[in-house]
Amino acid sequence: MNHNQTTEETQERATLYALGALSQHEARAFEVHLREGCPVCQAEISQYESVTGELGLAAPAVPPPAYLRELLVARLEREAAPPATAPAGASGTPLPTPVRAPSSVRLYLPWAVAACFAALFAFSYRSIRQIGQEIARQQERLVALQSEGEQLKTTLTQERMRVQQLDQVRSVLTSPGSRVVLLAGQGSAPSASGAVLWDTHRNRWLVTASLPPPPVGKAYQLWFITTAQAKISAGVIRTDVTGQSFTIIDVPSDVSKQVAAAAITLEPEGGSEQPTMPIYVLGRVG
Amino acid sequence: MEEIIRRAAQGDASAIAALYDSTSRLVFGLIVHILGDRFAAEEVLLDVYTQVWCQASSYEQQRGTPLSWLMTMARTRAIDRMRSGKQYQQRKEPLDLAVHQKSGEVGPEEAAAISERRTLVRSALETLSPPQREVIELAYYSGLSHSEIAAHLGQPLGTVKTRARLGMMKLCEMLRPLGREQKARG
Ligand SMILES: [Zn+2]
Repeated sequence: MNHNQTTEETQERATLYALGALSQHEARAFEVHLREGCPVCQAEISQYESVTGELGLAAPAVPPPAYLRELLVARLEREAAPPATAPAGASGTPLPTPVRAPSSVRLYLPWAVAACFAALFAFSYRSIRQIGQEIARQQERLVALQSEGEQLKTTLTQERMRVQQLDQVRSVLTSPGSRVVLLAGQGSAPSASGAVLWDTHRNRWLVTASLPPPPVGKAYQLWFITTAQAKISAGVIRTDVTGQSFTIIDVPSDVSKQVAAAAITLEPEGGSEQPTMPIYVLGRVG
Repeated sequence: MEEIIRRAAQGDASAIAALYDSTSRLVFGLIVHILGDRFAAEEVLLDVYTQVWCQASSYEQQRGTPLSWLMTMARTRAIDRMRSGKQYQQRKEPLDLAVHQKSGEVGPEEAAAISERRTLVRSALETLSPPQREVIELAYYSGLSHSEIAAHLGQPLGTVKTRARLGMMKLCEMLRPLGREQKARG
């Protein structure tokens, strides 16, 4: 029902609405009332909203760091969609274009592997773009914030490493004849997981794994398990503090012909000749 | 500034850059004041201008000047960001109008008109009684609802509502000539 005159109550509701201080429920109800065309409340709200529109000017001005402008321009260029065709309210980064695994790769893959693969792939694309942006930003910050320089340098190095890793993952995934071996967590660490991306051309394994952080004095070791059940060390793999690992291993050509599975065990630091401890993750070469 | 928005609506990205150059200090200042976290504020700042780019064509239907449209957008996004933050913690620091009057001076690119408006808004806020100003600042800059403000201040809800109403009416009265002037300048 429309009001026919301004009252303290109508003023109160309009001021609180303009300040964003009504409860959600009250705000929705007031919006309905406005849409129904109450002239009194419409006049009041437009008056108060012009005030709240100005209120933000009272905050002290702060110049944003210079790199933000570059980032904005880069983002606008990327979005490039003419605003007229953009859906109302659309903002933020566009979704990454879904990427199909090349058919030569897909042949090798059971469906579950393929799904994981696709997720990894989409991730690498999106991340490389975002990380590239992030690096630009971090570099700017290095200049702007000398005091935090050391810490940021570490971050920057980490981000660079991630970009390199993702690039390598991508180059393996897109090359014909690449294979994926999923490593599943075993009894001692059911939540551990990993994957081997096998570049059969260059006989190279990219091993990614998510493992429990190793106890002091211990390290993870990767093993080739041959068709004859022989276990050949592929070397110790390093993990970061959260147990994430990314390792590149050149597979000896004689081993590559007879490898049937890959496993990671926890061993004394420096590695063992033969696995001495329980298997953390295991995957069969399909 | 209307002209800039029109150009942006036609897909001219350089218009957004121009708008950014003339307003980003004000917008960033508001976001930083609301969030108190510069890194989060940087992201919100980028989002605000991206949103302007996406919604410039719908500006015509909005109420108010382009600057108040922009500031409202920035305020909304900053409050949303604050609420979505894991450590959802509202800042309740009052604006220090006196101290920042000088340090808040913006660069030469800021038009004299904007500078004039800022001074007026600040002095308008200063004319409010401290309890009125407090309620308005808690709502606008901290994103608190009336009942949250009442709880925070330990005052009855009715008192909070009355302070908000009287404070806003006062501001309205003080700032009205400003709005007209701005419209005439168009
Ligand atoms: Zn009404």
